[in-house]
Amino acid sequence: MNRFDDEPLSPEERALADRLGRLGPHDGPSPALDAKILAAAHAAVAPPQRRRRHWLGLSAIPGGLITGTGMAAALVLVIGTVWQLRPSDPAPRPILDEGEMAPVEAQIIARPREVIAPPPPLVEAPSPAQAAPPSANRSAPVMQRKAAPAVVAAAPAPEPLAEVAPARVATVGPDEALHYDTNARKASAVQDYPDQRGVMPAAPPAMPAPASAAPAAVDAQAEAARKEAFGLMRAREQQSIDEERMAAARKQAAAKAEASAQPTLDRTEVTGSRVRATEISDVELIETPVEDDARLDRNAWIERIRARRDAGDVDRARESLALFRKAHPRVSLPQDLRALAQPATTR
Amino acid sequence: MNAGADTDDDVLMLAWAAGDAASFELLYARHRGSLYRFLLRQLRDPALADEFFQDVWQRVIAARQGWKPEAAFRTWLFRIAHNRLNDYWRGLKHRPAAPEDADERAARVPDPSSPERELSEFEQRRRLQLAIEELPEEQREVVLLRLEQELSLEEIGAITGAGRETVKSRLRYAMDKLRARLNE
Repeated sequence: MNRFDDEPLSPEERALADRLGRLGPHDGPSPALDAKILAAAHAAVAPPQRRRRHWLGLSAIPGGLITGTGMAAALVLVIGTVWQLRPSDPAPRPILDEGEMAPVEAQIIARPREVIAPPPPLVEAPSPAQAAPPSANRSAPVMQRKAAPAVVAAAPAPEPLAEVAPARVATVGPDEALHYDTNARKASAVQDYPDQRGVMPAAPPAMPAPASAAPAAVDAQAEAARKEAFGLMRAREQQSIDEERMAAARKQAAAKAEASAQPTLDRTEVTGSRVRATEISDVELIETPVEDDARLDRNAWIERIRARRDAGDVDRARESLALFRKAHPRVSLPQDLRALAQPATTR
Repeated sequence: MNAGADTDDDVLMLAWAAGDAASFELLYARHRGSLYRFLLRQLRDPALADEFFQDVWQRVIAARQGWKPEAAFRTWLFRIAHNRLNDYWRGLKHRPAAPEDADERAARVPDPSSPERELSEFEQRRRLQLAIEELPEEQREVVLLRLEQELSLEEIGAITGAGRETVKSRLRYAMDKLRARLNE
């Protein structure tokens, strides 16, 4: 301990040292002073992280656990933030009643069925290809699928047609009811030819029902005679077979829809709105209040205004356009609608 | 590290600087009493001695990383105390006067001896205390380091910064004065 040569005290020095030792003081520093100095020494050599954990009362927990928990919490926070900030539809979806939602949702489900549902051979060879209006020749196959069930359903009488569609919607439940249009003509077309529903979204957007109503009525009478030949039992058997096919196709489509990506659904949803806006019949256009146009999104609303104008309902088209300009004052009108807006402003 | 009571001060100091807090506890227990008594005898004020004692150990803690075992730890520790006292003396510009209650404090020291011997030894201790307090600062420090700490002349020289002969001379003068004062 002593790196210098020891120099023991002389006897005289030893005697004085003993006397000095008895003189005191005999006590050392106080315990409080000892504790203060020892604490400072411990703190000086303790790692900073350990000191912080001790201060937090977490000294008994392994450091790796704390680090892992912290990283997991941070990861959850980041994922949650990204999920909240993910791109979404900029405009809120208009609130629609069930009748209006049906065609939109039908487009969502019908889109993947284009791939998965091969068209089976038709049991009844439809003859009304000639009955299709000349203006619809571009989509002749589709029109054949639509026209045929319309004839079949309309064969007994006009009244049963209105009864059949709601009854079927009621039996398949609210979810499946979304796949049907409220339009009885379209509903019967879907039910009688479920395997062809995948073609429906590709149909021309504007297909006014009255345009095909007249030839459909003529075909209905002709087809009614043929229907009587087969008998009512034959029709019901066919109807049950078609329902089974439709149920199977619906299951496959639902599985495909789940496997398909979310963006596809989003895109289809927007497309459905446009189709809905443009496929509305003239009768519905007239019966639909102008205020309901405000429920549509911006593009669908524009299409609705065009549809009103093209249907000859210029006043309602102007009213709808005025509402549109109030709702979207910063949106520049399409060129073809500016002329419609001019008289309204000058009037 | 398994530091025992016979472990060298330098080893303890190095171990504590490396993070072994237990080594410091051993080192502190070994030197706390002698350092405190040295400071208290120099300062003659318990509150001031407490302050200086803590200050000296804080300096030890702060200088642990740069410490090298070139000198004994005890020598280094008392050199810190010496420098701290010197700063204090220079600040005062004069030696502190003896406390007014020195006699009373000395009288409170218990002694289980016989009344005759008690009176004799009390008188001797009182004389020794007065004699030490009357010594010049350099001589008083040297004699305290020699009698209380039992340090060698070289160690005292290392602490005070004086040469061995200077220390020897100061010690000789101090012993002569003590001897003369106690033989009065």
